[in-house]
Amino acid sequence: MKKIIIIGLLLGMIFPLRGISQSFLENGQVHGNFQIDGAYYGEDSKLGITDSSLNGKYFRMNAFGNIAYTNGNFEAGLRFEAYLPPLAGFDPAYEGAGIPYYYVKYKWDKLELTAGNFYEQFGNGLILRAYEEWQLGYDNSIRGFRAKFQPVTGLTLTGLIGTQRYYWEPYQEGNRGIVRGFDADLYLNDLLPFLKGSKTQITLGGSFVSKYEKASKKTISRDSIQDTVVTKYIFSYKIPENVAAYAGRMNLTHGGFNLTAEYAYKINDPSEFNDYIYKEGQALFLSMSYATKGLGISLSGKRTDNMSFKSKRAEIGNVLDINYLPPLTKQHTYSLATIYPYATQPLGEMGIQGQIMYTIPKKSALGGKYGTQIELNYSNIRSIKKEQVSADIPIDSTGTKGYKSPFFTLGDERYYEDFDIVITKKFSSKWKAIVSYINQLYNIAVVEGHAGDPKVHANIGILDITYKITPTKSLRMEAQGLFTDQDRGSWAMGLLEFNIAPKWFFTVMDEYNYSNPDEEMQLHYYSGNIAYVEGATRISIGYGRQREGLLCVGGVCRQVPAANGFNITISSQF
Amino acid sequence: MIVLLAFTLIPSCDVEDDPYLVPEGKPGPGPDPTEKVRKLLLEEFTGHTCVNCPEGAMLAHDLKNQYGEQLILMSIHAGAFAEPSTAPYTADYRTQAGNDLNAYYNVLFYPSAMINRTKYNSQYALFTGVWQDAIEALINLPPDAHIDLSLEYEAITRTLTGNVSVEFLNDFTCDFNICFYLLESGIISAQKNDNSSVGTVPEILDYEHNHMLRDAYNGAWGTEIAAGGVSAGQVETTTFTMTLHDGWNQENCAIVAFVYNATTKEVVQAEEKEVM
Repeated sequence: MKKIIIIGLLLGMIFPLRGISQSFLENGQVHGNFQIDGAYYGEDSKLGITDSSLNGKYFRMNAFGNIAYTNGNFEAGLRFEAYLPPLAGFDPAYEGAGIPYYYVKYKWDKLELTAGNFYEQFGNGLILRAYEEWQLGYDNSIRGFRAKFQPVTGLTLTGLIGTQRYYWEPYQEGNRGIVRGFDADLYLNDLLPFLKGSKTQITLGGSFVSKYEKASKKTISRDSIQDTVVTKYIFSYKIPENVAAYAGRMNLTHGGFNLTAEYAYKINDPSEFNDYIYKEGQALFLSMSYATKGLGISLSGKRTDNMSFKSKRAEIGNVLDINYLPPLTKQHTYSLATIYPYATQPLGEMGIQGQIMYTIPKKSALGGKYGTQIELNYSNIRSIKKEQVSADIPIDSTGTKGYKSPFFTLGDERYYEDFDIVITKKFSSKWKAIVSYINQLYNIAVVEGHAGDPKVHANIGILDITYKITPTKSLRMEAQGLFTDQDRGSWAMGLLEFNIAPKWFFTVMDEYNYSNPDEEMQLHYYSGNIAYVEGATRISIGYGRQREGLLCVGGVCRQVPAANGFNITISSQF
Repeated sequence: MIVLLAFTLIPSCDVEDDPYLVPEGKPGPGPDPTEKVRKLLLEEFTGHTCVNCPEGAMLAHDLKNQYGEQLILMSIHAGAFAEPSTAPYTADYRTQAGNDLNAYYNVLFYPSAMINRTKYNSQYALFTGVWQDAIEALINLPPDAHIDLSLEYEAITRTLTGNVSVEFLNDFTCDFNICFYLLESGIISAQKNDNSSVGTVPEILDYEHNHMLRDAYNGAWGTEIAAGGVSAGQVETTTFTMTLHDGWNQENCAIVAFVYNATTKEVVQAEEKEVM
């Protein structure tokens, strides 16, 4: 009710009541989408799931409904969410239901104003990215005001102020900070006459973000030893209430060639995440790419150093991040290739990623009748080099500068390495195959906190074959193998999918952890699923056993616990 | 609005200078034994295969150094990280009371701690970053009760007898329960660790576990000590007798007695006394 009143007041600020006419409602459009994900969990003694651990919460559900009204330059909308209770693996603090997202927006000729919740990104997100990812249970939307102004063509100025979503918690001083941001984006081809119509397109940008969070008492005791007498002293941390970050970026495009660069700097930001050190943060992101018919090449590099930037200094979970650090790793989709996904390390990492996509022309000797696609990817992520700030201060000591780090020196620790090749070939109108080989190195101690566990070296082979029985019926088969001597050992996977286009999809799958060092855990993770699609509506019902793991999207990850039971998903849009 | 915002952002930078830690002096002498002050209970959920837990224990110990007798520590081994595993993690430090609390408060991450079983920012089990904030929210409040605890230990039978007197300092309309938990310190056993400033990584084989919950004399939820409300000045007394397990070192054991609101389950007052 409170939120409806607020939306009404916001509407009234823009449109005085006497100005609303019948035509305003007649010319409007309503659109939206919704999704319900439900699961019924059962006991599974092999996975250690008992009646006691389920704690009476056998059925769980995550659901949302988006609705938006647009009429010319005006837009208003809201999203209702319910977690009753949240699905296993989602933060239990989300339990409940309500409207966490609502807004009104109006666009004049050069100015657009948004009041309420919004998502926004400055450049590549190195100092500000507010976004939502349903599968991760991630939502750091900003609630406040945003203005976008284009005084001249080619120049866009954005200003925003607000507080980030924190589960269902209303903002109170002390439970999180206030985020302010400003961004300028200059498309030089519109601003500079000599670039108008040029094949070379240049965009420059600059942004500034600051958070204000009231300082709370943070103290530590230290021992002082004099003549064998130990005396304790208490020290309080200097806490900066205003923490700022700024970034500059450029983007250059010439024909099929593109170059992107962005550098970000953050002032001292002592927090629980970095153990209260006072080192500044830096991030650099570079990317080059070339694309032409049948060929695409890209090369990216990044360096991040102490760039966790949250609007609550005491928070260490996957909430309240103000910024986003690109992972530079491939987002795999085949199931065994997702067992070891990389999670971005905001405290420091350096990495490169190279990709080549080439289509061997059709009707050539190698390409065959339909052509053949080859994709190569290589990612390598390492730590940064850390050195002591002085001989008597260990690296990462709380209440100090922390460390110094030569900008272009690689650290000794390997975090992640991924080489993969994917070949896609259509043999005939009925047969199509995808073959993939992946070689992964995964530092499970750093990424998942399994201190002392050796790095995982895995070789993964994937064969994906589709046979079109008739124009509307097809059968798809996947066979995968992950081979490793570390962690849970090797896996084999088989999948059969029968489709009756466009409405019916039937899938059975099994993942078998055949060489787990614990013989009792050499389990089959089987599942079956039926999906029905009617227009924009999709209904899917499944049953099976789910393995424990990590689900990562864009380098941000969520723990997925092992589970057994039924699941249902209903989604639609209008 | 954009221009105004741009100008307000410019001074929004607090760059701090070294030294970053400001001396506050020595910890206070602590309350007079006869003085009635509020004492808080910090119940930390932990486990021997929890790599972040030694850092949590170090923080709890540091808070104890600062708040002295006003802060009582308890370490509850519960959840997946407390389960016995392959050597050297074969020990089982879990207790029925600890398991019950872990399940009731839906503890999902470790280390986490409850401060007086009172919600802070809508949460009971708190991550380390807000332990001091939660303590600061309660520590200076006047006490609602005072606990007098005396213990007698008989070495041959290993019998421990306790006499407790609870004086309520304000009027209340709720019921109150009292709990007696036995803790043991100085238990040397392996502990996983990923913080080199705390100890060796990836594990500390001779880690000293302190304030470990060993037993709850009257169960996780205790027994009733006052029903139907109390008046300021009302005194309730009770006794208990328990036998120490042969494997526990009585010289390192202590009893924590605490009284809590039976409706909200918030701890009203706590007291700790060593067995010997």
